[in-house]
Amino acid sequence: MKNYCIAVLLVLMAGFCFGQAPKSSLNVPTTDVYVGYITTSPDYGGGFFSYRFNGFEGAFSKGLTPHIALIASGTFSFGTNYSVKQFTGTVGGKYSFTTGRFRPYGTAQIGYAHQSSDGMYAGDHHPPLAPGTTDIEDGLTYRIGEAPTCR
Amino acid sequence: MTPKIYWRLLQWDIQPMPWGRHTPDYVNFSSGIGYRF
Repeated sequence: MKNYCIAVLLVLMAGFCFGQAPKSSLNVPTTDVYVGYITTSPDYGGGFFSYRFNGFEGAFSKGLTPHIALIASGTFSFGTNYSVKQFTGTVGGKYSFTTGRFRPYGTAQIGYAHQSSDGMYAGDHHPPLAPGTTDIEDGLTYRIGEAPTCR
Repeated sequence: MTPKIYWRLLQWDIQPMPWGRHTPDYVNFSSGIGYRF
């Protein structure tokens, strides 16, 4: 009987020990969604900030490791002069780390861009084309950037 | 870490637009709300 009780006690203790083992990293947050305001400043020869688009950005990222994630971003912005509208969709990688209250990151993305305007873009991007002329441009784009975020 | 809402203080990036047609330099600034889970 004594040996039986010792065996049961050992099994119970082993069970408690395994029950307290840490759970897998599946509980670590790895998915990130973002929505925000974006302002875009092109350099059309007058320097940055001489013209500006305003709009919205959305992004989704999924962590592969604690520091590296895949990211997909989309933006829509517009300018009131010349009715400029532009869409971009990019995908790439993101590296982030934690320091104090902040979580800085850097990202490099590549993708597609579409612009339309009413008389804005000549071959050198200087206005105007003939009034009422719609110009549409599609092409490859990339984004290289960084940001601090609160943890 | 636990799931939480956070504030992206100020995102900065450079971007030509569109590449392959004309390539003026663009600078983007963004700020907004994120959710990590």
